[in-house]
Formats: sequence, C-alpha cells, structure tokens
Amino acid sequence: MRTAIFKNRRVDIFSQQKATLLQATALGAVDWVPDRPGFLLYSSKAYSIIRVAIADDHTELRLALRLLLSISKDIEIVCETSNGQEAVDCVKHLQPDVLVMDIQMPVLDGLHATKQVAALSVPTRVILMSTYAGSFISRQAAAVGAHGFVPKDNIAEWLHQAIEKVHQGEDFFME
Amino acid sequence: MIRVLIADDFKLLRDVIRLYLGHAEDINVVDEAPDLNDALERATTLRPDVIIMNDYLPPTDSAHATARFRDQGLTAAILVISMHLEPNLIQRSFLSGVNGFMHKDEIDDYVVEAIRRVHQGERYLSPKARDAYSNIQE
Repeated sequence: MRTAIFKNRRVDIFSQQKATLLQATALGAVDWVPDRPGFLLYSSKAYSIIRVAIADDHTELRLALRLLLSISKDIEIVCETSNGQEAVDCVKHLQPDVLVMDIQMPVLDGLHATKQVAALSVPTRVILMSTYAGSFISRQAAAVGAHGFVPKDNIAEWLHQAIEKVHQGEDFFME
Repeated sequence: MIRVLIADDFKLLRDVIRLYLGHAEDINVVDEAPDLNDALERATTLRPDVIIMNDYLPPTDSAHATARFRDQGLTAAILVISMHLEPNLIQRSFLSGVNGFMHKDEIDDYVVEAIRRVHQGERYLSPKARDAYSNIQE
C-alpha cells in the first residue's frame, strides 16, 4: 500500500499498476509516503478524514504524536506548532477539526489558547493533554472550553478514540 | 520469531514503536526499558534477538551503552533510533558494535525492515542515517 498526500487529504493506494500513480498525480497528489509497494487510487475514505492540529513545545513528543496518528488512515495532520499562540494562528488559518494541545507551553499556555480558540467562530474542537492527571486538571480543561482531556501517560492507548469522539461532537475527559 | 527489547527513556515513543511492530507477524516485543541499567538487566535475562535503543540511553549515549552490552557478552543486534543523527555518534556507535541506525521520524516506514535486516546480520542505515553518515566519510 502507498499513501498519497493530496493538498487536503491522504489517500491510500492499492494496485500493481504504475499507470494509477500517474492518475493520482494528475488528480493532484503532491507527495508520496516512500517505500510502500503496490499502487492503486482508492479515494472513498477521503471524505471522512479528520483534520488534526498538534501543539506541544517538545519536538520529540510532536514526532511521537505524528507517528501515533499516522497509524490511522482517517487522520490527517494539518499543522504542528510549539506554543499556544502558533496553535491559535493555525486554527484561524486552517480550521482543523481537532486541535490536540499540551497545557504546559511557552508564550501562551494551552488553557489560554483554548479560551481563544473557543471564542473564534470556527468548528475546531480542542483536546488538551498534560503530564499531570486527575479530576482537577480535567475540570480545568472543561472550564476553558476544551472538549477532551487526556493525560500524557494515556495517549498511546486513548488519543485515537478521543479524537474520534470529539470529532463526532461528544466530549472525552479522562482523569 | 524475532524477539525485540525496546530501550528508550520516552514512554510514548516506546508505546508507538510497539504499535508499529504489532503489525509484523515475525516480530515479538518481549520487554522495554527506560535506561541503560534496566536494559542491561532485562537483556541479560530475556536474551532478545534485537534491541532498539535510543541514541541517548540514560545515563549515556548509544556508543557507550553498546560497549556495555558487548562487555557483558550480549550479542543481540542493536538498532539505534535518533532525533539528531550526529555523524560522529553514528561512527562511534558502529565501532562499539551497533548494527543499525535510523532517524525516529522514519520509524513508520522503516522500523520493521530495519529490525529484519539487523537480525539477519546486515548493517542497516536508513535513508536519512545514510545521508548523515556519508558526510563524515567524505
């Protein structure tokens, strides 16, 4: 399987025919994930893609989130930022479906950034993360307008589900 | 079955690597460790075939850590994952007995292949590691 990166979506490719690669290029594929054998345009999933933004000041954590989320073919990462202000700017410009954001960040922290996002007239819903866990911080996240909270220790296990739930309009708060 | 130990101080990355390896039928993650002493202990007990090691495994780097493994007679193939691909460290690591090197952002595309290759006794450099390493050889 190959994954074509289109401007606004990821599309999985299954086939043995090189012609379909050219077809995908003609349809606007702008990049390819390398080294996955086999090609064929398969775009029916493209319409259910969840567009996700990531905000965390730790480079390695962003990388781990990117690797984690790219396991799901239904998720496309539209921007990665390293503080709350950049995250708000990303939301203004790209209006992702879900913003996954750390609470502890420089310049503008995740709680203040969430308030700003909630005040914008955009469909973006926020899931906050923290090194800390517990009902106090989870309630703080809800109070500023986030729709989800996941402690960092639970990310690998629960983030995909949190994103799906929040994208469907539900809340997802862990303690 | 290739038995793998994951040695990295960052839990989320260990979890993510497990997810990627979960799809490979010939690979089994037997354990994980957050630092060198823990990794040495677990490797001595479990005798994994391959150790995936961060290029910094507290309290030391992958070159020194690998030397410790080899001193203890552990022959597992060692695949280093790195954020920085510092050419000097790649070179020192290979001299200490490391078998493969790759960038962490290549894990999704190459980690399974890398494990199979080092397990077969080959030396493995991912595309980005090859680029970084070629700088020091020129």
